[in-house]
Amino acid sequence: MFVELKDVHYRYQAGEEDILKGVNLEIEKGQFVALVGHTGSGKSTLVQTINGLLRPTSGQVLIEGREIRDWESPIKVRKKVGLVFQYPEHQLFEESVFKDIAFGPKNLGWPEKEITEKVKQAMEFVQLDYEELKDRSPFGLSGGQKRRVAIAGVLAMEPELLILDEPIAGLDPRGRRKLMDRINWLNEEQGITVLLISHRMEDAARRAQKLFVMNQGRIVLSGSPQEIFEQRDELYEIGLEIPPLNEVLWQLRKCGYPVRTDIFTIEDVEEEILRHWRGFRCSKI
Amino acid sequence: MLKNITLGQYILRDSLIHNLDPRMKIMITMLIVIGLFFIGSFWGFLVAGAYIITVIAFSHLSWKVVIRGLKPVMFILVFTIVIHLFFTRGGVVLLEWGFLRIESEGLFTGLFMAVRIMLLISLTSLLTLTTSPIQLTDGLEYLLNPFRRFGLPAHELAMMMTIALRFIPTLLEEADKIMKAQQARGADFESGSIFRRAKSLVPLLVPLFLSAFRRADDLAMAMEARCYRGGEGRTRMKELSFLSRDWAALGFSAGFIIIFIIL
Ligand SMILES: Nc1ncnc2c1ncn2[C@@H]1O[C@H](COP(=O)(O)OP(=O)(O)O)[C@@H](O)[C@H]1O
Ligand SMILES: [Mg+2]
Repeated sequence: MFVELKDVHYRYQAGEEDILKGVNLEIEKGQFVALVGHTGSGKSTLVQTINGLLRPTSGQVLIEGREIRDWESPIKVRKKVGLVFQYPEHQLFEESVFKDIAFGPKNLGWPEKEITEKVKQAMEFVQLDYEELKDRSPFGLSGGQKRRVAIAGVLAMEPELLILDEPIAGLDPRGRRKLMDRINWLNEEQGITVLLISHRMEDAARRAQKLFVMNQGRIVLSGSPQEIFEQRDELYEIGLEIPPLNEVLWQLRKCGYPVRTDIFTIEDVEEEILRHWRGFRCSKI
Repeated sequence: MLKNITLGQYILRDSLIHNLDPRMKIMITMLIVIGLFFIGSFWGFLVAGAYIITVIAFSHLSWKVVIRGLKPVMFILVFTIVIHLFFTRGGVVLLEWGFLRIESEGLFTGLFMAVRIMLLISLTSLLTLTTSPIQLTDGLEYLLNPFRRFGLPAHELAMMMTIALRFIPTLLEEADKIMKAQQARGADFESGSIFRRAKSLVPLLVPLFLSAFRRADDLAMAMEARCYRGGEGRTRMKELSFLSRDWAALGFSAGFIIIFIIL
């Protein structure tokens, strides 16, 4: 198993309540998985245990079968597991885009030539023009560009697992779609394992092969998006809503139409509804 | 790392001391501080110590909290004693060792000064322990108000203090977050020479300052949007007023001051 968490507990301050209350989780190499949960359910805390920024109060975090504290250095773990924090553009600090993206590779001690190469590649990965932007100040860029520079800063370290904490929060709809498409591309074309965090179901729905649903420090549901969305009422109870498209299908089913509820694209849903529209008379809709 | 720093050391309790008018607490503290400088004998300090113990008892705080407040000044205490031990001359020679000589006057003055500092610190920390930052600034604003006619911007000073106090935890949290984000990119804040460590702070400080400026800007906007325009004509939701317990506290403290100055 690539990443494995066994009964991980974590609390920020001794004497306080556990924030993580026994999390078990497995990620296979090459997978695209998503971690969904209400704000405050412990998602950000959980992923910080995966690259060793937080050490679990009890339980184990294994990367490639080896516990994190048995790795020679934390840097090795952080190279393997790239973590993009929420609002990553707030951590930019260098005078040029190039230097900022090169910060990670420099800390890894790579030679100059390789760093340049990796920066170039990382910028290409997030669709930033190298020649045009490399000498610009990151602070003069647009919000979406800044965010991509920050993500490139992690990608330049060539992580095998890329964790993105709410990567599309605060972007406009088009920026969201483009970034999500690109994350998908990184997973499919570059073979990077992706763990996406979101508090909204629909961000995760179409892309992820597997969803983990978190509530109050525990993983309460896990499975394929299809399996998860079947549990609409359980999700509702912990403050999550299934994507609007699935909600429509769900309501239709409640009204007595035997529609499928395990489809996610607007085209599929349209077809499914039309199929029934023809089959039944439209009196009820 | 940063989670060990405890700032804004106010501890909420429902006690007589907590409920006193903040203006009275500030004034009494000032009087006692002045009084401490007039103390001429160890007997005086003993009475002053008794006063502080009484206050702690009435404030329902534990001993340890007040003692903990002394830790940061430990160095100053030791330094004071050592300096006086070796450099203040007079009295009988207690110890002679090479060129070092300790005389009784030195020992006496050193201890005297150290005790004075200890009392000063515990007294002022008692003020902040029992008075919330908001009350404290409110009290200060009231007390500074008379000086407004000499051009002192009392309200603005108090507002600045309130805001600064309000943002300390926020900035610490922010610093923690940025630090972690840079560590995720392989930054190392904990090892290396002093020079390297200072340099490694750049990736922390630049984003931190930027975020502080951004927050300051947002806050200024938000305040203006709610029609804030300084203290002019501004009324308060809670007016402070002295109650009999405040006067009692003043009387009690004044009694102590007179006693320990005379002794
Ligand atoms: N640095 C911290 N110190 C103390 N408590 C924290 C810290 N970070 C998060 N928490 C607490 O942990 C809980 C989970 O937070 P978080 O992991 O950020 O959740 P999510 O990412 O799902 O919104 C929250 O109740 C939050 O207040
Ligand atoms: Mg979060």
